[in-house]
Amino acid sequence: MEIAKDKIILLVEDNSDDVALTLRAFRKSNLKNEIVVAEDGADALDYLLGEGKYTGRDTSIAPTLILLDLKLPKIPGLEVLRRIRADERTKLLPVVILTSSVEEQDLITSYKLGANSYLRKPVDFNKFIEAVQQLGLYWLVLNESPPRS
Amino acid sequence: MDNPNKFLLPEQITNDEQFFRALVMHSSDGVHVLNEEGLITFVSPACEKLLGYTPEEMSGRPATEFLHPNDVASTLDILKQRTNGTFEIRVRHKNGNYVWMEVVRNFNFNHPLIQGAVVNYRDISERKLAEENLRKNEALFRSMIENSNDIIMRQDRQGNVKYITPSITKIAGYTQEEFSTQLPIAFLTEEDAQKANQDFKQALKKPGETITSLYRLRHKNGSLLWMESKAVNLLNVPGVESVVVNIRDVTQTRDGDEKLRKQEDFYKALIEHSEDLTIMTDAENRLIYCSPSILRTLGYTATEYAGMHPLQDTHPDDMEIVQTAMQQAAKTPGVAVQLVLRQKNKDGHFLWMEGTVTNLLNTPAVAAIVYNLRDVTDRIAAELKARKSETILSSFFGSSTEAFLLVDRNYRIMTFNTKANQYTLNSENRSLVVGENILDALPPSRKEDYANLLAKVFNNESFSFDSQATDTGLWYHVVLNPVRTEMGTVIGACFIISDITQQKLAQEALSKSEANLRTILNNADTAYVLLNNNFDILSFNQLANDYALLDLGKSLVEGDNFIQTLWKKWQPTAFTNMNKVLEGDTAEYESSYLQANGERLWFHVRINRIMDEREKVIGLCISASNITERKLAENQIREFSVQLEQKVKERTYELEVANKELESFSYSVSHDLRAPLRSLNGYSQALLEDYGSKLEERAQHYLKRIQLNSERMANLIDDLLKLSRVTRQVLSKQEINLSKVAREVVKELEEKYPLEYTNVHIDSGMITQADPHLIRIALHNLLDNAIKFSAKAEQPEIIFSSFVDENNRKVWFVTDNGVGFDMQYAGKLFGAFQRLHDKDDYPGTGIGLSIVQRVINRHGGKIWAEASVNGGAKFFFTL
Repeated sequence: MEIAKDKIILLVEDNSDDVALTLRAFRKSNLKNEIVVAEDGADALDYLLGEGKYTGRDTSIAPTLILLDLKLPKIPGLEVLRRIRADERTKLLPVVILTSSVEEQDLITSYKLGANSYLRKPVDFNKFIEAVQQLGLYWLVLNESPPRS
Repeated sequence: MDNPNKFLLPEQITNDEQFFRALVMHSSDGVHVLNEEGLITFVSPACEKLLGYTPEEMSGRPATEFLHPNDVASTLDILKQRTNGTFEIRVRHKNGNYVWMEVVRNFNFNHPLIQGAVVNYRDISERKLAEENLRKNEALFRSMIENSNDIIMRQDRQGNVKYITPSITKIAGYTQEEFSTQLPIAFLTEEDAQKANQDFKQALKKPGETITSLYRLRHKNGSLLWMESKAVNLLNVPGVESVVVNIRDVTQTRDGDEKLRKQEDFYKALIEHSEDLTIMTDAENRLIYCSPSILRTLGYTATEYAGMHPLQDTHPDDMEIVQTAMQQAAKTPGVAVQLVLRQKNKDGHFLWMEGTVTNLLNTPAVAAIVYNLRDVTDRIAAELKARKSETILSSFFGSSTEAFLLVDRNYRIMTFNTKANQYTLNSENRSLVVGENILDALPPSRKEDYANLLAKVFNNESFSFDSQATDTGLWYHVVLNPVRTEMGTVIGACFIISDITQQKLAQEALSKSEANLRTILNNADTAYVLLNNNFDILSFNQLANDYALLDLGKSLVEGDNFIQTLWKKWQPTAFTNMNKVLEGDTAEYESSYLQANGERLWFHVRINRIMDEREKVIGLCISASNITERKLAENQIREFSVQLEQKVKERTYELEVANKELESFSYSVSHDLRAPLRSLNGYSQALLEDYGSKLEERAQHYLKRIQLNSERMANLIDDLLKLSRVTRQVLSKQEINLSKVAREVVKELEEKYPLEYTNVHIDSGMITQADPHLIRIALHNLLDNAIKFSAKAEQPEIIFSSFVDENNRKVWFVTDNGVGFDMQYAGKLFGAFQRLHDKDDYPGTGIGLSIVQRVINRHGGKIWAEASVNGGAKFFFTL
């Protein structure tokens, strides 16, 4: 199974431990794609829209997959999702919610705002690796990305 | 032959003088001639027969000498006026008795032969006596009936009033004429009119039977009277020929003090007299002579009559009388035979003629049969009427509901009716007897009183009083009147007695009830003022007066105008409002009054119309109740509710804040507590993977224990969140098939537990009202426990079923035959994180039953358990 390496994954996650373990899980799952980490919601939007410290970035290079945590500093995850869906440049990007909570309200709001998938991070790290593998396989290999605008 | 009264005589009568002399001399009437001084100048032979005096004794005497003193003045007057005509006077017989005479005077002072007044008279004593008796009887009955408080009415078959006693005016205000113009039912209320109509028809069907009824009669002034009516159909009784109705006012006991009504001159019409008609015939009944009065009596001129056959127009019924009289006269020449017959006049009407027929065929100068007749039609008619009236009156007398009793001046009972006897029987138990002394018939205790009373009655006084019989206790209204002759002499006394016990009792009950009502009103906590249509005060109760004193500083006065009693500034509004109520509006309002002590009094005021039975507005009723306490209470309640609302708002806000806090707490628990656990687990794994080869087996085991505990911690957090969610979630009940839900849950649990050796029995058709999501969580936990704790049994058996308990409550239960538990720990069973078993043998966080209990509690139900160690467990719940 060949996974295209040029496909960028945007990981929006403020917890450095989670970032480290997620990156480890990607690694363990043999996913070699470039992973851009945004530490909060504002950072993520700046990256996507070429603003702030990403001013001048070629926004035509968009991530193939966005992994979005909900509980984020500055701009919360659901607001980030809303703005992604509100902007012409980003509204078609696949967004997978990757978070700790399974609060019903979060699930409903996420799907309403246009999340493509909702994944709860298991505490058992082995299970987490398994989940990341499945995720990568599906979104980076099986799934056909939306056409570039 | 220049006397116009004499007409051409038949040929054989040649000597006028002789003819008339014979006529006069043989007449049964007495004839006098008086000169201008009133002295008697001629006396016919009949005079001696009539009065007993010889012609000599009378000749030359003044005529007035022989008259009754009462008739002298009128006679002198007639002489002076020279009035021709017929008169009735009393003439003294030689034996000293006065004899009633009918006198015809003809003043002929200018006649060359007579030159005086011709007085022609006949004895009418007998007739006078009969008339007098008739009149007396009639007067007695009439006096009794018209003094009666009853109304007596005669109706014909169609219901028209033929006669009604004058008492109608006294009782109902209408004159007799007014009442007689319409059918009597027109004066009744509409509903009673129908009843009266039926009663009348009933009376027509049953002659002689008394139909008693009660009707409301409209008085001329508009008020309603209750009348008791007793109708008897006497249409077939000769002389009465009517329905006789006896009507009594039972509206209230009337004041018996009313004087006897003035006697009506009902029989004013006395017999009127006409001048004599003299007819002479020969033996073959051919006319010889006819006097000029033929014109005034039968309407023919003498000439016309000369061509006719005398008495040819006699009424067929009277022919026999005439024949008999003629035969009698033929047999006894010279004797005047009395005769009454009906004779047809020129207009074709029959006239009653009375007189004599005398056979004077053998008297040479006359040689004729002489008829001496006069027109008595009016008298006969009057007599017939009087006789009829007497019959009617005596029938009233007998059937009257009042008692009548007449006594003469010697206290002797002259007559009485059935009722009188009945009322006396009540006290004495024996019949009255005509002729006995009334005082002996009365109870001894009353004897003296009545003797005194009657003495006064004989002295022309009248009495009316109520009296109670000492033995029977019945009440009577007694009217005691003198009975007078026409001349005004008291000849006796008349008792009219009516039983008024009913009225008395009704009156007593009424006054008692009135007193009760007054007491109630005066003790009522509502003030009442009654006004008439002009807003004058009719009546008020004690409280109304108290309020008036309080507010207006003065008492209410009956008769004062209520509006003017009020403060001036309120008067225009009050006037407008009350007028509106009179016109049909309703008025109800609250008003307040500030007392001198600064406390405000509140009143609830209501103004209503008062209507009479015919729904005519007759005034207003103002009622006012003191509602100060209610007002204060209302204000207090209003304050309380404002405070309460404020409190509820505050509490709601606090609760909302608390809820928000709880939500954000669980949110943060759910996110933030798990992240460190993931790190613990993840890094332990990283250590094992990257450095496992460098670690001792014990170190690796420790790392695994860290991972295991981090997972347990994560489970605890998840369960805690579930518990909190059960509490927060909104309950929405609907019909749930518990059997179906349980089967689905068991299916889910098959993935978790090996169930191939477990007997699971679930009753089918267990349906109830519950929240589908929450009840599933509860059943999941209960069944999960049951399976878990019976897993080690030899033959695991799980039952989910239900029953109805003694309180008619549906109870569901889940049982297993597993390890059970010691009942002494039952209290800890439903606490969060309470475990009764080893977590390695029976994994779980200990939150399951807590969740179940919350679900059951949120449904308003209860949950409890029975178990024993190794004896299985039973969990019961209601919803």
